[in-house]
This record gives sequence, C-alpha cells and structure tokens, in this order.
Amino acid sequence: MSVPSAPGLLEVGRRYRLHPATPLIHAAPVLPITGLVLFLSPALSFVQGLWLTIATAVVMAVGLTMIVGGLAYWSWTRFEFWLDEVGDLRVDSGILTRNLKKLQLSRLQSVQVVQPFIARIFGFATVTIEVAGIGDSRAALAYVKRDRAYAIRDQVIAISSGGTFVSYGATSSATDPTDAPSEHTLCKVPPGRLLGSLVLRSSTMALLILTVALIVFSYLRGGWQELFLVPITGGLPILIVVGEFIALFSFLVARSPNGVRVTYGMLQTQTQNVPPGRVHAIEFVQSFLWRKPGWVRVKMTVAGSASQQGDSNFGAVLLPVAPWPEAVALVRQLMPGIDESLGNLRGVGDSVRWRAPLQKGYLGVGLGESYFTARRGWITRRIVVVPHARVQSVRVGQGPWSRSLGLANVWVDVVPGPIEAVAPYRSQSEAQELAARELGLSVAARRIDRSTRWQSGQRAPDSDGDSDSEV
Amino acid sequence: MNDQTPTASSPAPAEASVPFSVADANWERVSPRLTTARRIVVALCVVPVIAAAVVVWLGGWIQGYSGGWCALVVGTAVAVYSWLHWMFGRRTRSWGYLERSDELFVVRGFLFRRLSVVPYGRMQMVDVKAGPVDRALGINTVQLHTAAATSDAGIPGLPPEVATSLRDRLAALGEQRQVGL
Repeated sequence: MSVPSAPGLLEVGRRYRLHPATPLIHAAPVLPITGLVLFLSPALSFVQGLWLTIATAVVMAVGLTMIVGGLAYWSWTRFEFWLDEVGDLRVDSGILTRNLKKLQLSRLQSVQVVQPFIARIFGFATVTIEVAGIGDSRAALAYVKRDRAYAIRDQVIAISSGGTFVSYGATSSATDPTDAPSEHTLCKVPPGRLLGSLVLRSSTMALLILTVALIVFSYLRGGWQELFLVPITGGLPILIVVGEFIALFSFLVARSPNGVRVTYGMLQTQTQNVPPGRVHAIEFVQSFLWRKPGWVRVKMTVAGSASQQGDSNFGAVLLPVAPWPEAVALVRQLMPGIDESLGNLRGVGDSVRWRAPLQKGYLGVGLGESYFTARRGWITRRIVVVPHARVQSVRVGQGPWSRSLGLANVWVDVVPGPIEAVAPYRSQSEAQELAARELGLSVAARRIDRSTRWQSGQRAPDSDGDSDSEV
Repeated sequence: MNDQTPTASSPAPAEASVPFSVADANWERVSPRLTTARRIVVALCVVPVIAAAVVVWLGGWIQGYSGGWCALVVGTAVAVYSWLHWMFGRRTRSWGYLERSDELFVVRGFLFRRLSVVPYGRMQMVDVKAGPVDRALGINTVQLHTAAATSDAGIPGLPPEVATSLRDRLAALGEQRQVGL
C-alpha cells in the first residue's frame, strides 16, 4: 500500500491512501480538550483530592482519545482514492456505510487546499475537490502532506482544463508554495491597510458611533441603564474586525499556471485557485469612508462555490482591500480588457432625482465589447462587471414608484453567489433597448467563448448542436 | 439624458428593443382558470378565519358579551379577500409569454411588472408541475431552470396539453442549443 508522502503525481489506476498520520491528527486535539473539560467540570467531583482528580481526568481523556483514534484509524484503512482510466477521481470511504464516489474532473468547479491550524503545524493539508452536480459532489482528502496536496491540486486542475497530466512543480521544494518562482505575485495586502479598511468600514463605524452615543446619552441622563448595551455595540465590531483580520491576514494573490491563486489566513491558511473561465461576475465594493483613501474590496462569483460557503465565508473575496488602480489591474488578469475608465458608462435621466436623488450622479451602465458593467450605490458604492458570455438570462422590472416616473431596472442573471448585477433606474425605453442589446451580445459572446477550457486550445462547444457541454 | 454611446457597437442584436407590457406584442396568454385557482386558495385560508370569528361572536352573544372585535376580524378578512380577488384577476391578465427564435420571453405583474428573457441555450431543465387545486381546475405551471437562481421564469395557468407541448418544445430547443455555463 503506497503512502502518498513524497511530492509527485498520482499514477493512473494506482490506489492511494491518506497520510498514515491522519488518525493521529484527528485524535490529537481530543486529549487536551477532554482532559481540561473533565478537570474543570463537576463531573469528577466524586474523586477526592487534586492529584487523584488529575489522574482520573488524564486516564479518562486518554481512553476517549484512544477510542477516537481507533475510529479514525479504522476509517483511514477504509479510505482510498485514485485516478481511473478515463481521468476521473474516485474516492471510496466509509466504515459501515460505504461511499463510492466518482468525481468527473471535466466538470470540476473548484479545488481548494486548506491547512487547519493543527495540521498546518505538522505540514499537512486538506484538498477539497468539488465538481458540478446535484447532491454530494465533493470530496475532501484529509490529510495529505502539504506538497502532495499542491501536486494533487495542480494535477486535478490540469486534467479538468483539458491539459495533460503535467505537474507544475512550483510547490515541490519550496517550504512556502507562494514563494515559488513560477508564481508571479499580483497583489499583497499589507496588514496595516487591511486593519484600516476593516475599521473604516461602514458597519464598524455605525456600531462605534452608536456606542459613543450610548455612553454620552447615559452620562447626560445621569442614569447608567443603557450601558449594558455598550459591551454589545462596542464588542461586536471589535470581534468582527479581529475575526476578519485573522481570517484574511497576509492576503496574497498570485498568478499561477492554473489561473489566479489566492492565499490567506493567520491561523488556518486557505489556498484557493480561481480559474479564469469560472468567474461569472466581479464586484468592486467601496464603503463610505474608503472613498478618501480610494480603497475598494473585490468580490467574485465563482461557479459552484455557492455550495461551499459553509467552510469558508471568504471564498467570495478576491481582494479584501486595495487602491482602485491595483484592484482593476488584478481584475484585468481574469477579465482582459477591463480598465479604470470602465469604458464610459452611461448616466441616468433627470427624473431619477425623484426616485434616488443621492445616487443619481453615480448610477451608470455600459455594454462594452465583452462585459456588462453597472455602477450603483449611495453609502456603499458598487461596480459590477459580468462577461456577456456568462449571462444566464436578462430581466427588466418596474415597481409602481418607478413606473410613475417612467423608469425600469435591468438585471443580468448570473450563477448563485454574492453579486447582484443590476442597472437601476434607466428610462423604460432605454431599459428595453439595453435588454435587447445584452441578449444579442451574450448570444454572440458565448459562441466564441472558450475560457472554460483555456489550456486545451480547442474550441468551446458552440451552439451548433455540440453535445460537449459542461453542465 | 447623457447620450454617450458605449465603447463597442453591438454585433447585430436580433431586435432593437424588447417588449415589456402585454400591449407591446402578440403574447400567448394564460388561462383565466388561474384566477379561480388563486382565489380558491385564498378563500380556503379566509373562510375558516371568518367562521371562527362568527362562532366566537355567537357564543359571546348567547352569554351576553359584546363581541365587537369579531366584527373587526370579519371585516378585515373580507376586505383582504376582496382586494386579492380583484388583484388575482388583474394579475392573471398580466401574464404573457412569447417564443422567439432564440429566447423565451415571460412578462407578468401589474403593480410590480417583470420581464424575464431566457435564451434557449441557457435552459438546464424544464418542469411541469401542478398543485391539488391547479390539478382540479386543469392548469399546470411550466417552470424553467437556468444556472442562475434568479432567472425566475415560470409560466402558470397553462392547460395540461399546452404545458406539456411547451415543455417538450423548450426542452428540445434547450438541448439543441446548450452552451454550458
């Protein structure tokens, strides 16, 4: 039985196991936690004396750890993965209920390498692979050696994007894969700027102002009843800021042979690969106080990632904060042709004054050669960019208030994600014309689009009855 | 109105504009039985409320209490029902769909008007479904699914044979023009 410890490719047909240290990593955290809980809880109050209590706690914790370790070992012996002859990944797992999975890599949605805190200390990582499909269409290989994890990821991406079984080898020798020479760093977020952006965010500011107002109010009133709210209004923003700071710490975006690679995290390092063809929408978000330093956050909608929001809330963040030119330069890597002028957006008519006076001057829409671009927002400003080739459908909508002013909104629908692409408050005739133009552009664009198989050089399935569709 | 033209001229869109109201084009309409179905569903919720209020009021009246609030409940229920009764009629008449060469157009709503346009190549699945009331009245809903959850193009109130043939036509077109994500 092979032990996948050396970096290298998976051989077709050969069955692999997870690293033999896997049961230990699963069981290790149980020992100190249960020991501490048993020692502190009243469960052992029947035992007399401190030393006896400690000894009992240790014995029970060791016992529990061995049980967990035994189960983990058992499930380790029942876990196998391999590449089959047609280039799909097979994963067999389960102790009592066997679960035999076949992940069709040509329908790959995402591959992620995650290093949870404990695994990271010992140089292990988890590879999470998700393919398009209904139900349980993902597999997590936990744990393998970090180098092995990066090799598997590269291989899986290469197979899925129509390339050959080549390792990009960027990660084989370097201790930190992001420093490997073949990866070209595109953006780095300095800790100071990250912290500044989180503090200056509208939600943080609103809560801090509320806190100050509460203190002032209760001081003026002479009563202190309101102060019980202060830990909540003051503590919550601190918790959010610190939590997000730790999660997004040392954010680094690099170009890799597999698209754009995002790495971040202080305690748990996340690595996410963003294949260019899978990005269905980009959004630049600017909080009110970010206007002065000119910062924006870049979010993205990646096909298939909506279902994995559970294990990473920041999977939609392409860049937590950067000056506008830097953010645009990064987005240009994924959506060639985007520039800072956004191709002259068209503003809105005068009657919008009666519907949205504060954002009237900011609203805009543009239908460029390759992208739908829309700008909106009053306190928080947003710019959405959607490639015409990724538009799933188009909607026009109008409520009573807008109708009385002859206005309508135009939406372009994209796959589920954090981004809503809408051009609000166009004149009705313009909205109808925009929708028609967008439909024409999207039909034309996806005929020539081949970005989902960007490594193979072959034509994408076109609309003439080619059955090689991906979803 | 700012008349700046966008950067690129569009490569020959099929139409210069999309129809937005039922007056704009020769829409296929839905069955008036849809109104009846919706009204029945609301009536099934409202009638028990009225009945309960009347029973409580009668009970109170026998024992000599005044039950003014019961009249209020009945009045509110009747008012809500009347408004919905009228609105469902208007709403049914606002539905329309149009099968163009490349896309399906669906228009609906009279207070909040919506137009959804789904290119055939983007359709992933087409369902026909009907609830118990709809089945009793002989109407079905054709529901379209794309990779976007927001596409939101379903057509209710179609007679079963119309619904099935529409589903088959759409499914065939969808398969023929499937372009992936």
